[in-house]
Amino acid sequence: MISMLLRRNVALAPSLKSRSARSLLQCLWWHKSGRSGLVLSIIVLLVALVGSVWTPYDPDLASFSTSLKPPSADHLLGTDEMGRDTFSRLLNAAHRSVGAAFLVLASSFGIGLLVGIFSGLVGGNIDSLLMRLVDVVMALPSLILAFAILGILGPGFGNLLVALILSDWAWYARLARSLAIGSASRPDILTARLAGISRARIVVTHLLPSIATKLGVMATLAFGSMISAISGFSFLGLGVQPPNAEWGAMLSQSRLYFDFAPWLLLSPAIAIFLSVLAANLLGHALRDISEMRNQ
Amino acid sequence: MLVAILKRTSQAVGSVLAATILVWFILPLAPGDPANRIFIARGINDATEGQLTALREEMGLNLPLLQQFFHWFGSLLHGDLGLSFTTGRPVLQEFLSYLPATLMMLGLALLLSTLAAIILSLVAVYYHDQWPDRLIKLYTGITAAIPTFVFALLALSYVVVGWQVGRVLSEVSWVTALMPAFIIGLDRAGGWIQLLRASLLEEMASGYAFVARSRGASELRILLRHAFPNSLKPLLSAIGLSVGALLGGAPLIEAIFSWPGAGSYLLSALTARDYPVIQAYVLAAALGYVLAAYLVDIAITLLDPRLRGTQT
Amino acid sequence: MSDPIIACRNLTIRYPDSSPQIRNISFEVAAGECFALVGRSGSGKTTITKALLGLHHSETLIEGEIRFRGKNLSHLDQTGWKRIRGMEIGYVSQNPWSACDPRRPVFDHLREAWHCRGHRTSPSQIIEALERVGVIDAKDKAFSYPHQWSGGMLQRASIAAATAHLPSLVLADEPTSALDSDLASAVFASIKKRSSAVLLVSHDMELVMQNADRVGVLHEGQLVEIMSPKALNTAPHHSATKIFLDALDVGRSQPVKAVKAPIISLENVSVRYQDAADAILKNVNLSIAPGEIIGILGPSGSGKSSLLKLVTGLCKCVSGSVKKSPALERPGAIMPVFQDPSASLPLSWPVWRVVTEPLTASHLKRSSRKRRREIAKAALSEVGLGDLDIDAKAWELSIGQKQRICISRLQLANPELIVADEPTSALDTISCQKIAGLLTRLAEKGTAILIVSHNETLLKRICDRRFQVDPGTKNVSPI
Repeated sequence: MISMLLRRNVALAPSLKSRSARSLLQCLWWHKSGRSGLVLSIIVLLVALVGSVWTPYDPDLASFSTSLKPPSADHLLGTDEMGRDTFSRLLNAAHRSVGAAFLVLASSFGIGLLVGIFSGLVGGNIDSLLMRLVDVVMALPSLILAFAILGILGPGFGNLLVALILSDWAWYARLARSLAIGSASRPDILTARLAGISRARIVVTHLLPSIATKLGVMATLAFGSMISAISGFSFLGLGVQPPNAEWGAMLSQSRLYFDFAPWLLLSPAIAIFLSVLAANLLGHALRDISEMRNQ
Repeated sequence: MLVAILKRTSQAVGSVLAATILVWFILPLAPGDPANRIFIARGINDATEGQLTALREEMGLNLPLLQQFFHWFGSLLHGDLGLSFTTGRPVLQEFLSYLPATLMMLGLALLLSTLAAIILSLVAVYYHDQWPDRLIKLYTGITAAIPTFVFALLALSYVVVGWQVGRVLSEVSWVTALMPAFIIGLDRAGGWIQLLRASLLEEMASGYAFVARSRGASELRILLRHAFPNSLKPLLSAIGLSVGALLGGAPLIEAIFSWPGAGSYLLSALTARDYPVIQAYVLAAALGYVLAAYLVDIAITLLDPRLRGTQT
Repeated sequence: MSDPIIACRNLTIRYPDSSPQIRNISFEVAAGECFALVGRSGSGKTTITKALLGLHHSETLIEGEIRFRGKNLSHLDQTGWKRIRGMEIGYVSQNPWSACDPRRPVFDHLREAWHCRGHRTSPSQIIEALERVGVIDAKDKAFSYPHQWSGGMLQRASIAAATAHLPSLVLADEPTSALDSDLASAVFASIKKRSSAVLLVSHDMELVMQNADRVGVLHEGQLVEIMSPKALNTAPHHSATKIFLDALDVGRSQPVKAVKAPIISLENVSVRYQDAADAILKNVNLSIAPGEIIGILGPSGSGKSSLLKLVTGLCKCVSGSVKKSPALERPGAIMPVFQDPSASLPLSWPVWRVVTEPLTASHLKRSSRKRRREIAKAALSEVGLGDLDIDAKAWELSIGQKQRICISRLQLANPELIVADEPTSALDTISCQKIAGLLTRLAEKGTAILIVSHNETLLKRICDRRFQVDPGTKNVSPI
């Protein structure tokens, strides 16, 4: 991995330096796949925002006279079996699929960061108690744990999000804790301590940013699998409930009509593909940049 | 080395215990009166108070929680996972009848993806930056962005239904397992190729590879004899971890292919709120997950002379 | 001079679209000769080695001529190179451990030299080859793994593999830098024994002076000087040569400083790791006075770093006492310098914020952003970085600049005692000199400095007193 990164960074470094790219955004812009990832991510987020307030047609309005119409000027992506406009449903679903993935990741990132750093810094009994909890959560594969929690709570969009957060946070907590514990011998932190800088200030200015960066890269790279988890559970009917639109649920409904209405299956599939692609490109670029900076 | 293995073993046992406790919690945490739930699951919506009390007596549901746990744990050790709420038959027996189909599919998928990952990574590294490498990179980039179940759905719709290749599965056999296994494997191999390709490239740029070149060794010889054995560690870890992901993804894949395996059994239990069945699946998945990670760690220790200890 | 084994004429090496890494150099190595290339890191030594093995990157452009025993190699294809590599040109790398596949016994590593050419070989032949280069107990050791070998022995095994086919030229790339200095000449002798001509790339000047017949000095991709080691020592012409020799200048006399009361003294101190049975330091007596530079020399793992931790108060002694003057009680009175400057800085911060970080200490009054920027500017010009953009992010800087930023930062804490842990081992010769200069200047202003290093030359140059950690008695003794 290192040699690959080295090679990539050698190509990357001069262009970054000559253009005096300093902020993260500038670095992303000059990164090969970072630019496309950034643009694509912004588009996906915008679509999710717009789709939650405005769509060309009412996404849930059934009209049987227009059912299963192929794509046309009136209905860009055709209509589904209940005559609902696919494009509107796709737009409207974006904030459930993408927004929910964002919410789950942000929550598990936040909980993990706080619990991990707290546990690592406090140490002692509280630390071992928290880490036993993390061990218990991590003894199950996260999808299985999500199934178990959904089994207890029952199907539903809110329950799905709770289940995913509960099964995801421990990974971040463990990483944050190990970074926090390792920080005791970090040269930059030792220097600050000897210079007489207060503990709270060191945590806020040194510890938190460096750990948050590492966890943030991890969370971005996990975005794709989170979108697929949410749409997968909804596909099974365990997540978003009808008539609300969600990409996975749309896939599940459209299976039956594939023979004469393939657009119903393809459009949510492509939407999932593009948003996961955006997150992957962005995540890899962020990882490259943070590794290059740490050389 | 023995110490390391013992330590790892006790860690694995600890994980299994932790998972078991977590699994038990499904019962008391589930909403509603447990006895009533059993009746509802059996289709009796208006159980009388007398029936409920009798059932509580029978299943030990009136005992304190801690006692219930030890009771449950004790029977678990005897292989008794309780009775299914819906069918009233022993869960273990039912579960074991569904399990082979799932293991068949997942095992085949694991085998296919490992083979594909190894062969394609070696090709990609041997032809580094030439067209085979670029083609493989495109493949890994695409599979990374398509969730397995979407991939499976598209493949099923186009290949099986559209082109009439194969058929929608009716009975369980190695041949019918091939189609879902192939699709899971193809998707999973993508990530592994990225991993193995990167670590192979790193080894090919290492000091000993340079020295071997300076002695006149060919690229193929360095790749196969030196770089490949040295770069297996991340792949092995990924395979170990993927067992968890595969077991977690099984219900979804089985639903798409109408595959009558343990995953489908879990899904029907989820809708019926058949908690002992959910417990059985979660417990089995945890066992599989911990066991796979354990075996991979032991394999890594045994394969590396630096970890193996001092004897040759 | 007899016919040269290898001759480079007007050799220029460049990547497409960038300035050449090697510019127009010419040299030759005659049979029986040892030719040494010296230069600081980044001067192009490795580029030349790779080109002479035909292992340069496929996009690299090579102009000029490489003649090997009269044959022009510059346009040779990989099949042609494969015939030469290992058979006619041998290569010995810097680090013997990284030269071996860690998963195979050393025996396989040697056997590879024959097998990869399709030659058959018997185990006894391999053991013999090992014995020839002075490996002791070759029969027993051959089947153990590289990590079980000592550096000196493993480097000999590597030499045996490199010279398996008695090549007429051996390229030795820093062959002794991973070894202890007393082993270096014995190991190098085994290279000379097995090959008629040697091209030595090194910055171990002691080794070069003892063994080379001629020395070429590389500077920024150009060969600025070729002369005998003797002439190099007495009459170097080029400024780059002078700087390079300066860095190696040993035993410079120090002005005797007035003895002052020590600011810290260790009396009969012993240190032990948690849970460890043996102490890592025993009965250490050491005192440091203001303005004094104390050097501690010792192999890694000998407890040098623990000594530093003890002084900074980051670890406690098991027995004995550490007496600190009251001046050391204030925050910032003891400041560290670490080996890896990249890890010592918050890399995402702008330079001004890094440098003025000590001003944010809780016991000081808060200073405004504008004031901090001014202070940073002044502090940076003091360490010779006056023209650096103070808004540059720390990660953009070179490693030498980063270490100077570290020094500039600790100056703002106004320390009485500086504790430096291998402060120059990540740096090249020139940066190392700059850091040494900065530390000396701080000492002249009255700061006490304790340096731990395995760079004996550096310690000889700047320290007032030097000590050594004895691995046997775990004690420190003056040298």
